[in-house]
Amino acid sequence: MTKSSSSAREAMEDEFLAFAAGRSGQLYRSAYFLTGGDGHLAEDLVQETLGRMYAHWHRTTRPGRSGQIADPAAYAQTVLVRQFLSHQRRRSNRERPAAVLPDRTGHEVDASLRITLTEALAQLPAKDRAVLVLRYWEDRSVEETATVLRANAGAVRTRSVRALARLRVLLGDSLAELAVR
Amino acid sequence: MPADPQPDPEFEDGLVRAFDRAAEDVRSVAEPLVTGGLARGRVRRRRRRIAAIAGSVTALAVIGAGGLFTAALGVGHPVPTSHALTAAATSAPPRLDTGVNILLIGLDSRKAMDGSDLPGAFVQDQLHAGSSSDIGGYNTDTLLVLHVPAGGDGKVQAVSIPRDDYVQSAGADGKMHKIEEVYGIAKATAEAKLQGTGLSPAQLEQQTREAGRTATIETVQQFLGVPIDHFAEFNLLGFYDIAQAVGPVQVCVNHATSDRDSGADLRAGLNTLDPSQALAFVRQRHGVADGSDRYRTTRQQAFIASALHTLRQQGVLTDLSRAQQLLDVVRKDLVIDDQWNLLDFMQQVPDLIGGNVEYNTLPISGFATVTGEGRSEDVDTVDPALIRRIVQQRFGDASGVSGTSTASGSAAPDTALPVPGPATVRGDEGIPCVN
Repeated sequence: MTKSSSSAREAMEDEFLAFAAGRSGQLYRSAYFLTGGDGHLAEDLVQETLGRMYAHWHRTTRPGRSGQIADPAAYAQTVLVRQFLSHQRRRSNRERPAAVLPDRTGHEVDASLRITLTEALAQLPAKDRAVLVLRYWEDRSVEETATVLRANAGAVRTRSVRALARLRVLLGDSLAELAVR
Repeated sequence: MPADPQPDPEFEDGLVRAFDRAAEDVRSVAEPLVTGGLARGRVRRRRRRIAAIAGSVTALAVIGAGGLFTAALGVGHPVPTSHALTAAATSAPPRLDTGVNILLIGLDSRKAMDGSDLPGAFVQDQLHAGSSSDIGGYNTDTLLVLHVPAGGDGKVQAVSIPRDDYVQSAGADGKMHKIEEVYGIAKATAEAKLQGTGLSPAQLEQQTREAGRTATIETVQQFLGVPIDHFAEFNLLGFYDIAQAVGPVQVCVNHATSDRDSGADLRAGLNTLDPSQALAFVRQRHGVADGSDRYRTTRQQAFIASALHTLRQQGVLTDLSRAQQLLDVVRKDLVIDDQWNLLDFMQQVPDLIGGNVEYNTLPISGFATVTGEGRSEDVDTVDPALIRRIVQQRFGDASGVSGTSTASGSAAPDTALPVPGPATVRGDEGIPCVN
């Protein structure tokens, strides 16, 4: 390696590490919701996503060229969701059995909201979760969500409506009670 | 199916707020796990003490992705590493250019990495190899040197050394030997020396193997006239496990063949191989060209090219979970040097995984039968000067740092080979067809 190319590489690595340090929290929160509160799997997904980002990091630094990653943060969120879905496909037989939702009195510490929400999410099909997380946590439009999921907008809209309905049945009134406080 | 439910804006708003509130909680309980891991990874990288992970060529290809798991986040269990490279570095020839040379050592050992015997039935049924642990053992069946050009731009050159090449050994007893035997000879010498020193069998195995690796690296360096920068060692079981992790691999052969010894049974054209068949494919000798070992090197090269093609097609090379699975396999069956810097290596992987690899087998000059120590064996004779010129031509680049040493070999004709050998296998053709 010549000196200049190795220092350029180190600069790129530093840049990546700064990115990873800055984004991993947000990625982790998305992963946590996507996995229905499975912290370990969420951690794996974040690591896989960052690994993938590292492999493609050179694409963030070639403006105007094909395959350029213009917005690494958004790209990483997309990678995360796709990793999650392909992970689910491979491990569909390892889905956790539907847990019985614990009775909530409605006035607990904030942890109860996290638990209630993720336990309900965990009972939805993976794609439903992906749609809900993208639309209501990451605040993406139907079109953006469709791009991430490689689906068409109509399908996303339909799935979104059905997923919301399922979640509403699972959560009953507890969501409203917990979220307003 | 009932009609689609009606939208419920109130519930949607509630969900947005619920995500936000819950996220605060996630942040407080779980996030330190992630950022803490990152911080550790960063310190490690700075100290240049990244646990090196690597593997066979197949695994190498996915390593870039999987290695990050360890490199950036500082988790995972490293592959067993070896100091053999350091030991061999003192006698290394000067480098031809700024590229990286990697030696892959495939042992025909029926032993696990800790020296224990593999289960006989498994060896017999799946590996199609004789089950007695004293058949085979420490012969280096596969010796493949990869040259990755500096900066990762340009073709990766892969050169197989025929295992029967009769060469001057280094680091063993200094005599002429078939190159495949150098490892075992050096190991046996070390074993005699270490007997009775109170080492446990596992320690003894580990240390004597280091001697075998060092001697093999030194001999290859001297034979090819290039320094070895990294190496990876795997055995029959490792190959099997890797093939299993990769999944069915399609290979292409020019003619139908079958060979009871290796268990190979192939029809002309495309064949889909399970791990056991994959092993037979790379080990088949009878019924392939002239039956000599040199054509097995072509099979090994073709399998590597096909396996990479398969991985590329499946998108595994960029899929971290699959890459991770391969790494877990690699981890238990491989030994690599302790100086392999993954972050550096990852930058060089694209050409390897992109299939931009050219595989060649080094030529031989003829055949001979040598006798010694009460036995005679058939060997391939070689012209060391010619070999070094060929290697120089294939590995060296015009802007190399070693101008004086390349001058003498600048016009090496590698067309005038004394004995016809296997053809070049090109990795950029997807699934190459071989004999």
